[in-house]
Amino acid sequence: MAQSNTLLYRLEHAHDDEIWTVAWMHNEHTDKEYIVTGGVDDVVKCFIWDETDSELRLHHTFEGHHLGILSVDIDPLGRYAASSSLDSNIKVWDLEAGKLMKNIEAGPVDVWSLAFSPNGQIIATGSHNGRINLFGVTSGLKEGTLDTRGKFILSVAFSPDGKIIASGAIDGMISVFDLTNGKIMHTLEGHAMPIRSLTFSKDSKYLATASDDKHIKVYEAKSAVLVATLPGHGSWVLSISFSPDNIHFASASSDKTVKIWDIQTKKCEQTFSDHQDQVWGVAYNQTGNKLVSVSNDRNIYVYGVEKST
Amino acid sequence: MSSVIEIPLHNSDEVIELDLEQLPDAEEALTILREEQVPLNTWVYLARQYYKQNKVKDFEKILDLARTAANTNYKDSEKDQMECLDSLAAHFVTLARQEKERSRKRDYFTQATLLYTNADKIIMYDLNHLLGRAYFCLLEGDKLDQADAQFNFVLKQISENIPALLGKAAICYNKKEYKEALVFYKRALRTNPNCPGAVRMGMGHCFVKLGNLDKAQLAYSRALELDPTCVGAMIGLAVLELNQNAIDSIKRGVNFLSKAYTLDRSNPMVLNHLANHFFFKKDYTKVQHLALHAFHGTDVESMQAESCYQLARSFHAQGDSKQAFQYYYQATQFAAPGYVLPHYGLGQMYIARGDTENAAQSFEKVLLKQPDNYETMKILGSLYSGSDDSKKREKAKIYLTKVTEQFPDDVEAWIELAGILQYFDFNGALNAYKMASGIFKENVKLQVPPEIINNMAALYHKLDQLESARENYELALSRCKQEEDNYNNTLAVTLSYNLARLYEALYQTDKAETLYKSIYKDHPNYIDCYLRLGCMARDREQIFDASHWFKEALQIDHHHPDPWSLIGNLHLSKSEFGPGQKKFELILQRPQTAHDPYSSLSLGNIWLQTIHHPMKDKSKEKRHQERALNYFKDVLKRHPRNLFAANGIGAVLAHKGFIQEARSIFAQVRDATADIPDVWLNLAHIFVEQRQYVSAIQLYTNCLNRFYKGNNTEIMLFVSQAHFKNGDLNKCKFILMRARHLSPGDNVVLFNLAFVMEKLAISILKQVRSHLKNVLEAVRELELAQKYFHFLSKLTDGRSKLDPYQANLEAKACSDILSQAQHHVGRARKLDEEERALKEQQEQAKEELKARMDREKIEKVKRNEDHLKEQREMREQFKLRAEDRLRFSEEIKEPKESRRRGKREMEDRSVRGESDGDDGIVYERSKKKKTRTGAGGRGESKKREKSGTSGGSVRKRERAKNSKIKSKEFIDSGDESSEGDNVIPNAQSFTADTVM
Repeated sequence: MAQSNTLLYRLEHAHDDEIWTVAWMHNEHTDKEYIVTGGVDDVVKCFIWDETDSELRLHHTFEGHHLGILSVDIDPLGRYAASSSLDSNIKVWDLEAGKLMKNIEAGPVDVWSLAFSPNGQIIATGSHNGRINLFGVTSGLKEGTLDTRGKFILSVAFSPDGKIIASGAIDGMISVFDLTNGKIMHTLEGHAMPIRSLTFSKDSKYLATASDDKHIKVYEAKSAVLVATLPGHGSWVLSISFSPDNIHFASASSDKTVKIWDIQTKKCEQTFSDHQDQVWGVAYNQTGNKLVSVSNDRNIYVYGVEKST
Repeated sequence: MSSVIEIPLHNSDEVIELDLEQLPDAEEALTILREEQVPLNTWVYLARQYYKQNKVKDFEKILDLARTAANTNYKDSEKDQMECLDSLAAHFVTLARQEKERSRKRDYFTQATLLYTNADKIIMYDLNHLLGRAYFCLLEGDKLDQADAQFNFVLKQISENIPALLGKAAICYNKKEYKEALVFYKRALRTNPNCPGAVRMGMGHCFVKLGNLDKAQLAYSRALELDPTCVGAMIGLAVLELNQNAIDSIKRGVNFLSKAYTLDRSNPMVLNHLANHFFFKKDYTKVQHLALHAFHGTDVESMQAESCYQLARSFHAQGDSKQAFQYYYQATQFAAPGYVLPHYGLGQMYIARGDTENAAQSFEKVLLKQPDNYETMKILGSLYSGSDDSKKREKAKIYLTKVTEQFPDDVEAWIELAGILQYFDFNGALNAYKMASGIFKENVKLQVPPEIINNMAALYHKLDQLESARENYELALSRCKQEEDNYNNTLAVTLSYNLARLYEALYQTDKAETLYKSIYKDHPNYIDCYLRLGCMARDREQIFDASHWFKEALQIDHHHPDPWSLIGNLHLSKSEFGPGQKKFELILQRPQTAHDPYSSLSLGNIWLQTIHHPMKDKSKEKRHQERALNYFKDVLKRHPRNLFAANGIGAVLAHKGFIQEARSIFAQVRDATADIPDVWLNLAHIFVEQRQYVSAIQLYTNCLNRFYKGNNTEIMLFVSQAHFKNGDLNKCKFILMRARHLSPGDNVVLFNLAFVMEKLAISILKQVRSHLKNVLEAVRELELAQKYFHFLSKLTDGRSKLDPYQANLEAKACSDILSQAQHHVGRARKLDEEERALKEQQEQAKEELKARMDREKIEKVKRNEDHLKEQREMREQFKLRAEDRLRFSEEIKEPKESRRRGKREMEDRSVRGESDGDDGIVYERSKKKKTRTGAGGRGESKKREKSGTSGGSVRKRERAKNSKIKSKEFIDSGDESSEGDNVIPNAQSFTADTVM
């Protein structure tokens, strides 16, 4: 299935400085498409994607972080956003009410990028000592730890079925844990450079990993069989997001491009070179017909993903 | 002519008659002459008769004796003496001319000179004598000017003296003044239309030189009519015929030559021309025979040169390059400057011997005489294109460009030109290849050879037109695969390798890997494949794999310097300096690679990085500096254009404190190339050293963006330090935040970030008038900084770049300040409250003012009304008292004045009112100013930081790196150890600030 994709919308100067992270989620109750972004300017912004007018509207601006927002995620129901920053705090925001729900103070180097569990109850984040910390959203407390016995964990991802959690470390090691028993399933040694992003396909079948070694690798999540090694980016691969069609995924890179890949053909299907600087984040929406990217150039771009068979 | 000579007898009127037909023996004649004291003129006459009858010896004897024994006791005997001497001299000159043997020739010349000198003493300016002398000068060859002067003298006396005219013509001819020569010949001819054929021949030569071949032919033919044995004219005609290059004319030419040959079997010109003819007939034996004969038959060097050339050429054609070389060489030794053919041949011989240096010299000589000779330019271009000397390559470029301009269809020339241009002008080279392939397609109707397509692809690759490069490689590869011969197979391997390199550039590493592997499968010795596979693994930081590939390469060639270098770099990237150093030393130990510049540079760099550490032992530091310097100097000595070595020397100089000198070196290197990031950094380091922080930051940033796509923590640290030193703590903090984002595991970044946060917080807290919000933020950051320091102080990792003790100190400092934080917060809160109160007060004051102004306004209105009323009243009064104006005048004045004063008062008041309002505004402003002063206060602290830093130790981090294989690891590792040290000194300098 080929896709033809176009840049639909640009929001220039969306933040005052580099934008480092983005998440996109739909809230069924309010029927709103939330796009949450964060970056150097210490501000988490919540936009609403207006499908009819094809534009972004600023919904809330959340202040309170220091030293730059590293990562944001939205719970699967689209109610809360969690953000982590260099000041080692995790903050949970109520997207509709527009206020801070919870502030979690972790250790000084115990927070990096974070991820909501599929049930929205847990926030996972990596730490410098190779542990994945699991914080309860309501309790605000550390409720569990998974130890990879490795190095600094930069990225974490839950499989959508909630059975697996994977983490990527600064030395390229990828650890896959079985959440049902908390035991390590696999250690993947395919990369030797930082893994800044990894993600599961929506059917939990594949795990895609993005590394500073300019390569993306796709594994079968359960068997850890390497499905593909995808070169093509000219610099670090910074962010990766799976489309709900379970076939395509998007990647963003320091080479200023966003690429869309087909896991069946194992080829890059399209390259967007619209950004003027490193692209730190990409995210598909839930239906998979849109894609958002954020960059150091302070811009947010939204792409339309047309399906054609 | 009488056939009898009468010899008068002494003291008598009788005579002896000698029959000229039957001249007696010379001895007999001499007896008579002596005994009868015969006057000299008779001696001379008699001698001449002997000469005419070819009795040369007798002639000689008579004249020789005549000089001493003849009777000169008569009038005008001097003239006869002259004739005697001159005749004898002329005879010797003739003998000398015919003599081939040098010593005898010299003897003749000496005798002639002697005789002429004697004659000089008698009548210096006798015309015949002068003419004789002049011819003698001509013959000696190097006295043309002298001869010329004498001919001129003669012509002044007798303007149409034929021998003088002919002499002049000969001189002009020799001086290549052919037109003038022709004029003299014509004058001679006019004076005596029956001149011998030789005059016509001379004219013929002139016409040839002037390019008037028809007239030349006429002249030669006329000469032959006059003198059918005139060999010169025959040769002239022969050459004319041969040059027409038609079968008939060649036949006629050869006929002339053979005729000449039968007439004069030893004439070298004839022999040489015949040799030339037989060369074209490929009868080399005859060529050699004739040429040798000619060579031995002349002492004229240019003639000998030609003979040698004929010999050389025949040997050359027969493949005897040794003899050919010898004769060509000999020919060049004899050759007149304009005779370049032997140089051409010699050049060819040198090329065959592989001596391009001498070959080039030979061809340069050819080109000097024939500046547009296309073949020579092409050969020279080709010779120089392989040279290491850039000047020669430049020459090659010029020659080949000329060739392609003259002959745009010459494929070879285009290819050669492209071959040169590809060193320095990619676009030009590409264009040349395009021209060549165009000619292939259109003129030659051939497929473009895959080699050319390959080269074009490589150029596209270099020009970063990667898609065009890929197309061309793939095309070339398909061409190669059409032919299944050995050559094409080899070519296909090269092409595959190039294509794989291109795939790497296109980031299609999977394809590259597949290609490399397929190459070494068929060609297990293709070492570069292993190296590239290793480098690709290295770039993914899969060090173990990389090392595996490099070791594979060593299996193929254990002494190859490249895998050793790459392994050395891997060690360095892991900060394993010892093993790294050993690898490079190993390379230098092998005689074949004893001067490997890459290894020398690497070792220089290893020593250089040791002096990044501050060393207590100054002599050791100096020693290390010298070691680094020696390596760089060594490279520079052998490779004067090695920029990395220059950069390294700059770095050592900077370490030694010669900042200005280092700066100038770095600047030069950067002028030479913008492609070495280290030079940018070094230059920026120098700027920092010279406190030109803004320039430094700009240079660092440019380097960061240009070479590292913005992602290089090390450079970001440099930028942050420059900001810090410049007192711009906020910018410093921001860049460190970004660095932390990129390298979360980098504790140096964390330390510096914590440190700048601490400094910023302190400066805010210290400001008495800091805003509450800022103070609270500062406290929070201070807490975070303390946490960071605390974390860092607990690090036990032995390989840490940080001193936990230092972190601990900072953590304590933070907690100390934090313990007073409540005081600051309290103060700020109080201030805040005060401010708020003040603000309220102001508001109140404003309100009051407004009320007052309102009141005043009302009053004013009221007073105005009063005034009007008053005036009206006064007017009434005035009217009333109009009659007694004088009396009441004073009274009138007063109210007027009072009115004025009243007005002024009002004005004053309103002014004050405004100014009151102003005060309010001013107050607002001053408040604003205050917050700004807060910032200004930071500005002040900026200054302090700056001066503080100047007191602290300042560190340089110049590094030199080499590029052959870009080794980022190496660079990083070079810093790793330096980093640790860098941080601490910085921290110290930072601490110095804190103390302040």
